[in-house]
Amino acid sequence: MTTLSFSNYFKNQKITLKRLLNEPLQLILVLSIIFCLGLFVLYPLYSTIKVSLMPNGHFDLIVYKTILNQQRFKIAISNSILLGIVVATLGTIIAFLFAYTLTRIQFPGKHFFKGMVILPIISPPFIFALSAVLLLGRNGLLTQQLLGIENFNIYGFKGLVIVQTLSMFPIGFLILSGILQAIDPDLETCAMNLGAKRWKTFTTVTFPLALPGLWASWLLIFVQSLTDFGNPLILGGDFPVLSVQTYLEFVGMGNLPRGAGLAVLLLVPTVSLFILQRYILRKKSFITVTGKSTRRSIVSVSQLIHVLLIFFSILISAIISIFYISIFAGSFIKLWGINWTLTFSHYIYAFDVGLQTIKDTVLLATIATPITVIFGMVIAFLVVRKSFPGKNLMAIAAVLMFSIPGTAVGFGYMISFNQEPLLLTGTMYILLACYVFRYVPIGIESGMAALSQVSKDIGESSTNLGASSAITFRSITLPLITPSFISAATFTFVKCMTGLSAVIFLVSASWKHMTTLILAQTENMLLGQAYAMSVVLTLIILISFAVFKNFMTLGQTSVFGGISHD
Amino acid sequence: MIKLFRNPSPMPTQKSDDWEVADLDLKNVVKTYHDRRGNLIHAVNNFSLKIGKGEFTTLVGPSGCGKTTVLRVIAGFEIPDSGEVLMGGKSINSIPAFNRNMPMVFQSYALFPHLSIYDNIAYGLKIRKVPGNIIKNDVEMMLQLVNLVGMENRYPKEISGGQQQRVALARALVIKPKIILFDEPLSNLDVKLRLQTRMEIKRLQNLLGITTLYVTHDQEEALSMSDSIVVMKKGKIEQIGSPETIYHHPKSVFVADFIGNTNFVEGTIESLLDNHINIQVKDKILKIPKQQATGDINQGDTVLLGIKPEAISILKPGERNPNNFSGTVRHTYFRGTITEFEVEFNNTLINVILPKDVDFQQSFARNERICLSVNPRAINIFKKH
Ligand SMILES: Nc1ncnc2c1ncn2[C@@H]1O[C@H](COP(=O)(O)OP(=O)(O)OP(=O)(O)O)[C@@H](O)[C@H]1O
Ligand SMILES: [Mg+2]
Repeated sequence: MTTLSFSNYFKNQKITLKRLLNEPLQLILVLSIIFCLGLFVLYPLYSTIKVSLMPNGHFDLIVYKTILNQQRFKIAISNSILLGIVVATLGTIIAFLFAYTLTRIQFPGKHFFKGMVILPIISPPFIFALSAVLLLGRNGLLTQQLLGIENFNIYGFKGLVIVQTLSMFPIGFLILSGILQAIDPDLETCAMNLGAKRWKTFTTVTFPLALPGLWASWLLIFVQSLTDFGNPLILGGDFPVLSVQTYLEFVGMGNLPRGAGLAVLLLVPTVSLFILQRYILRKKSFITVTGKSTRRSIVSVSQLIHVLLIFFSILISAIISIFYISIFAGSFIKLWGINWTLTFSHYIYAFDVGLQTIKDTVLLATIATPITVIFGMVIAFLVVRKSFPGKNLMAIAAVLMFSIPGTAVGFGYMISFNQEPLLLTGTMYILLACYVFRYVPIGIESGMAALSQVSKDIGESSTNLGASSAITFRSITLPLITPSFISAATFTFVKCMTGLSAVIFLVSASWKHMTTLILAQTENMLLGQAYAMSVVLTLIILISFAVFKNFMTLGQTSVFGGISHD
Repeated sequence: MIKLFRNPSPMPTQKSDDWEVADLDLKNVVKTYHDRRGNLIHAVNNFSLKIGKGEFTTLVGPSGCGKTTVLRVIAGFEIPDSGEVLMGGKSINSIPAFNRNMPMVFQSYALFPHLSIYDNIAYGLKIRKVPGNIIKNDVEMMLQLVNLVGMENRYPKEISGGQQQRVALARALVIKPKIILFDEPLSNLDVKLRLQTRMEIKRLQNLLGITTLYVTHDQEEALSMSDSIVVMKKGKIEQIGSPETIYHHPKSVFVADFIGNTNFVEGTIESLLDNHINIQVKDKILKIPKQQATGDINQGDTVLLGIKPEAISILKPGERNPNNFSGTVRHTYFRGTITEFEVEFNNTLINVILPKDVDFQQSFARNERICLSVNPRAINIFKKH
């Protein structure tokens, strides 16, 4: 940068600063948002890094040296990476085949299949691990009862690959079906028209255009697998992974600095992949819209592959359903694999012990949801429509949380807010703050989507036609942003209800969360109760969907995983 | 004479010998769809059309009349329910789309966004496994032909709409098509560019002599480019003919309405003579040559007279013309070389177009009554149903 552009830069900054000073309300808003983001996003991050770097009050790399030298940590790191690579690859392949089938091939019952894929996204993160125990565990229905295999071991790498792939490929599906839908069918038609056979059309046009989506999907699933906490805790067995080690280091050993060091190790790849995904891959997206297209897609695979693909989708959906059905069944059976009597006792017990937890969970999610979404939308509005110094920094800080693994967030909050004047541990506020700042990117994404719906022109033309600003807001702006608002609210609510990895550090005797209770029941071998509680949790989410009346449009929101393909 | 392809030259003037064009023959093609409620839609209904080698044929018709569907059937993207598509006398019904060698230029251009301009144009050649040096030569030739030299390394996003359109054209031409298909290729361009590109396409078509089937909404485009025009209505052919025939002798009110901004005035057949038909319009009798009538017409029938705007002129003071009538000027649109008037006559608005006349004052006040004369040889008579 030359001196000239530097001085220009500062001049511009000065002008925007001046403008900001002329609007005191906006200034206050901006300042308080920056304060909040600093306190609840950057400060916990800073504390975590600080604890890991200054274990004894002064700078020391001892923590990292230990981690990188000890065999069990080295194994955990390589396990996490290996698992991530395998799951991301398998998940992306399944997601692509599924998305291709559902966007390109006409066959009845598509809605059902879409619903089946959405289900894992909205259910508790470890539900597949729980049902994997029922189906493939030591007393598993499939392994032991039906196939008579005595020593099948679902615990460990194999099991984790199965459950993570099933629960994470749907995110890839959402990205890829968005991308595949956005590819102009005229392009495929045109390739064929120029002499490319079906397979050639696929390899030279469809596939390269979907490539950015495949990358995005791979990275996102990789990060999800790396940061997954529930599944490895239940199914990990003797396959230690980083996220679980972080938790155990703190809970089991009480070693704060080492826990912090592990959290940082987890954070580095996720944050860098997040940046990579956001700023590099996004630029490479080829999807553009030109002119009017006839919008009639042709099937670019042969009849045989067509049938195979449909069969594959049915198979995957069937597997997903079996996992869910087994949870449901498990919640009514006395002792799975040993005593098959039907019983309500798990539910009775679950409600006896868990009623307060259910109330807490729902209450907190209900409070946090509107705050999160409105907060996100305000930030989106400021970032898109206003200009002020530090705007980009604010935008980055606000979405940063989405890339930080829940384990690191929970850890950071726990060590940052445990003393006066910031004593929040044990209160509901620490959970609320965690929800709001972790999920505010959802609100921001939807705010941006909403703002792109309500262009300045639309508002102005309404004003221009004689509507006052109140009427414009009510009759134009509100109806246009409502869909984004609702879908963001739905998704935020689901996240608050099902999040585990951060919450597990923050729950207390007075404020509990259903997911941690389910996990505790699993650890104490109260499996029936855990299943019953999971069913209740899933039901609450499904009911909330009915309330939000947004089940179908959810598939179209781009907020999942913070990816948007524009 | 220098030949296009194989022989690099700055100004190609003729296509090479290995480039063969073909004629096209559609026989009773039917294509139906089911809409979401299961109703049958006859997108193309019993459609027959012959296009000779090197001919430029245009399909016109209102939106939804089946133009695109006809193209897609020809290109092989839709399998007709019945009927045949013949190329060079042989049925191509069973030939898959990718083997037909009939590139289509889309309204959306459909340029591959992930390929450079060069690779877009080379696409069809690469698919055909043409040797690299020939691809290079042919693509460069095409770039020259469509005036895009120097842009080959850019991506579709980085060039303008008109340039994108020319890439789409080059990409289609480079594979030496037997027949080329266009689906409203110019409708995304602004007026000036549209005129330019229209001439460009026509120039290339003339130069290369490729059989062309062109779809457009724009009557001017159809009239100025085509050897023959096919007017379609609800999946069927309403009229086929040269631009002059379609313009001067439309077979039906539909065609007359679609082409040439025709005015319609109601009248009654007063008497049928040997060479003339006398038609009463309001209180005037118009004498119109008999060949201007379509269908069979009897005395006393109510008819619609189709009058082209330019067939009407303003009666200057002192001038006499038996076929005159008076009306009230409602609007005047000055358009430079011509002036357009809307004149109210008999409760209908009539369009009148007058060329600029330097000697004669052509501005009228609103609501001024003027006297118009009409050339009876430019009136078409349609029976009113
Ligand atoms: N895939 C399809 N499914 C159902 N109906 C279709 C399909 N494709 C076309 N149609 C119907 O067939 C009819 C003809 O469509 P077509 O696209 O050929 O019209 P067009 O003349 O090209 O119109 P435009 O000028 O608007 O492009 C329309 O009524 C259309 O709705
Ligand atoms: Mg069309």
